Amino acid sequence: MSHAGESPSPAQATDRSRPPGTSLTAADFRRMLRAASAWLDQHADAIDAINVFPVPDGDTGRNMAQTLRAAADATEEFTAETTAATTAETTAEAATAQPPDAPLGDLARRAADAALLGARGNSGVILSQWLRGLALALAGHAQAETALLADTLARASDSAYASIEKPREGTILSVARAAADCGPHASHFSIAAALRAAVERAEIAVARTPQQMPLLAQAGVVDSGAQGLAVVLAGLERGLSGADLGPAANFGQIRSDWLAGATPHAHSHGSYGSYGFCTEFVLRGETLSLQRIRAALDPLGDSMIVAGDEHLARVHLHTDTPQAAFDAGRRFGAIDRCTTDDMDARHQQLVGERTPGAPVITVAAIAVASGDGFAQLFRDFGASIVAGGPTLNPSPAEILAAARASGGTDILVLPNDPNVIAAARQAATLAADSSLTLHVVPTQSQPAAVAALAAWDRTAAPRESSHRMTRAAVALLTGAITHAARPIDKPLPLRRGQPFAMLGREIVAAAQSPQAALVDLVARMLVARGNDSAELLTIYTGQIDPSPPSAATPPVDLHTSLTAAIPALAERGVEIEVVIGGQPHYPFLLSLE
Amino acid sequence: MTVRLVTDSTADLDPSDIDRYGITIVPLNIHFGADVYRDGVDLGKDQFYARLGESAVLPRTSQPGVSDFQAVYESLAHADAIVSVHIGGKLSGTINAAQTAAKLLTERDDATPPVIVVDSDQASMGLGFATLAAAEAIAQGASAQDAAAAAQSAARRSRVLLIVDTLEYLQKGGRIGRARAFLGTLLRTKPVLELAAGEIQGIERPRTRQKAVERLFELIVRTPKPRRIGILHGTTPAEAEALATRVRDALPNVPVTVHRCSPVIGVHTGPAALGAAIERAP
Repeated sequence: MSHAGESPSPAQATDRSRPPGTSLTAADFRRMLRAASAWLDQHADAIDAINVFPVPDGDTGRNMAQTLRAAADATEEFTAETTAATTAETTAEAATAQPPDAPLGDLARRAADAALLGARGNSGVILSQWLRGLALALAGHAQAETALLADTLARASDSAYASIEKPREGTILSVARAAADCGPHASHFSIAAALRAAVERAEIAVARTPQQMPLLAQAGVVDSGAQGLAVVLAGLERGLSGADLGPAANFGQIRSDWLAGATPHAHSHGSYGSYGFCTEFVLRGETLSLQRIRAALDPLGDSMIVAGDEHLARVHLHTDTPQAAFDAGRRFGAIDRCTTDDMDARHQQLVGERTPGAPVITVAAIAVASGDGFAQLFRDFGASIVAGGPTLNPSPAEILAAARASGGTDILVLPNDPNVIAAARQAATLAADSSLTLHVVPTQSQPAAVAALAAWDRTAAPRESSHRMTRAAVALLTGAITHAARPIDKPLPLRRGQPFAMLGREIVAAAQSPQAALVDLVARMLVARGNDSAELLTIYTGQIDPSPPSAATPPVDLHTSLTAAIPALAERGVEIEVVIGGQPHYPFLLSLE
Repeated sequence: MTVRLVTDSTADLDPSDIDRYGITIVPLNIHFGADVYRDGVDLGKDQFYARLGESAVLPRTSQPGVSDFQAVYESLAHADAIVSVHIGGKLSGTINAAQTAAKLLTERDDATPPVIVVDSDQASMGLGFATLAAAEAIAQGASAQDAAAAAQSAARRSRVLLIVDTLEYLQKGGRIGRARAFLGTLLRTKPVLELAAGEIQGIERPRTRQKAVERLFELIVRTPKPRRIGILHGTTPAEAEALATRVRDALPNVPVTVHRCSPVIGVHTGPAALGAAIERAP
């Protein structure tokens, strides 16, 4: 049985005219999520279609839809379980008996947990964090009144903001905040009215994204992640009111650039500075204040990271006094998983003076791979593989599974796509509870992962490796040749299917053939290096697409044709290496070092 | 009390140090096909590296014979004791030959002085620093036992870093050790290696020489408490001098010398190897 029958109001869940004051129940929430998931599914293609970035991978709409579906499915399972468990005991009870537990809070928690594990892409990760905020606010509540709903949306917004290192306006985050603005006066209204207000504010926020994000304004579009969250809110509202979902809206000419909004910035860990110990621990408590923990630890060192929530926080600090850091942590809660690495320890180890009490760690690496060639290259460099699938967007659950299978206690995670970095970070957070520590090296491409793995010092502490690998990946100049997945006008006009060149993540040239684009791109990469030395150009050839005859060009010709077309290659003494990457969508991926 | 010091040709010691301390060097052997040369005696470093580039067959190396060590120890019969410090037993059988020779002499129970054989677990200037530590101790009047202990201590405090153009030579020569994991990538790499606990192990695999040299430099200057540093090379003296200059600039109070690797080392690293031995202060 559902808890709808236990709510104080006799209103049926599907009643369109919910009287003011009606509480939100677990059954309502389950139906809302189901409706929102269906509504987002219907709009996924439309949201994908407004991605201005024409790269054939990592689509916002589909990623968000998969994430929300994971949440909705989990609520169905939860309801089935609790129904089975409570039917027997409740039949004999009076209908007015208080519910024995907090079904709405528990249901929301289950949904959020499923979303955290199932999140795909940056927008999916942010959506899952938004759901986590909802669940935190609803925790312990059997049902929600309007005032709690307002709090809930505010917590959801805060949680979404906290998940991004450098939150930016004009993105999904702005929509989360706008929805929460239905706030202070909402308690005078019904839940349905408050939610409708939230949807309206969300839609206004979506329309404003071009004003907040110059790149969007330039292209005259809205942000697709923002649009996605507005669709989620509209779906939730329809689920509550029982309104017919109706046909999907067509976002028509509205386009957006999710990439501009959500690219996580590179891990900005600098050098170690002067502190000798890399110290980490986990804190458990009921009312942890991350801010107060930060304030207490700040005087003790640098490179501080304090992440988590009231119940669980993960702390990372470079310090000369690890014990003082542990002691400081202990004042806030139960301390666990303390590790401290002497950053000079490895030198001492190698000359036979092992630091007593140093933790035993085994470092492994996992890399998201797309293409047999890359998978083999990563394995050659000692990494295990996370299958990226055609769109190279694994979920945190898949990343965690690969990390567990890797056999390491400390796992270097190479996401290899801007749209997977957030999922990898989420996996790292989720692993905080286990015996594994995940270190995300935020690689944005597979060639960057090769450079990172090349800089993996097998004798170094995992955190140092992670920093060095990040630097190596960032220093690498990368390029790609692909085909336009959809026509665009800016930054340069491309027909659907037209080959074009990207330098880093920037579209720099269109061409008639992938080979022509390659020559153009290599010349640009040399220019981009400026006066810095250019030693080695690596070209990773993609999956051979049987349709265009030109793609059958044997790799050996690449070497000759490039050298002939670009004299600067020989003049600057650049060596060229051509290897099979086997990646889909990209005839060529390049790196210059 | 006279204590005499013996090492082998893989120590890469500077000739002036060999003279100053009167160190006896036992040569290992280099085989080009059927031709056998005693390292540093019949075949100089210049000649060797020239031939290494030209030779179609990969040269091989072999340890000195037991009789070679016996002859050396007997020639030092005037001393009260002999300390014999050698290339690590995981890299060469030299130490076994030395130990066998020492044992045979003891069993013969004639007038030959006692020999203390020290397995340095090192090679090149890692062994060189161990030998120098013993020589310095002897010069200050240390006993054979104390000199041997000084060699052992210096060997433990030393690290040898190495970059190679290819792992092929280490693999074919059977000295790849734990760097085996670095074999078998389709991509070109310039592995950075370390001689650790007497065995080659991989540190990392940059893809260009320049990055490898940069990493080598970082590893050198970040080694805590360096006492002296030897830059090692095979066929790239200019590169080695440039690296030495950078290291001197970074560590102005640390003596930095440049050493051309013995052919016996060169056979296993390949021609373009560049490296460093660093002895840390106790």
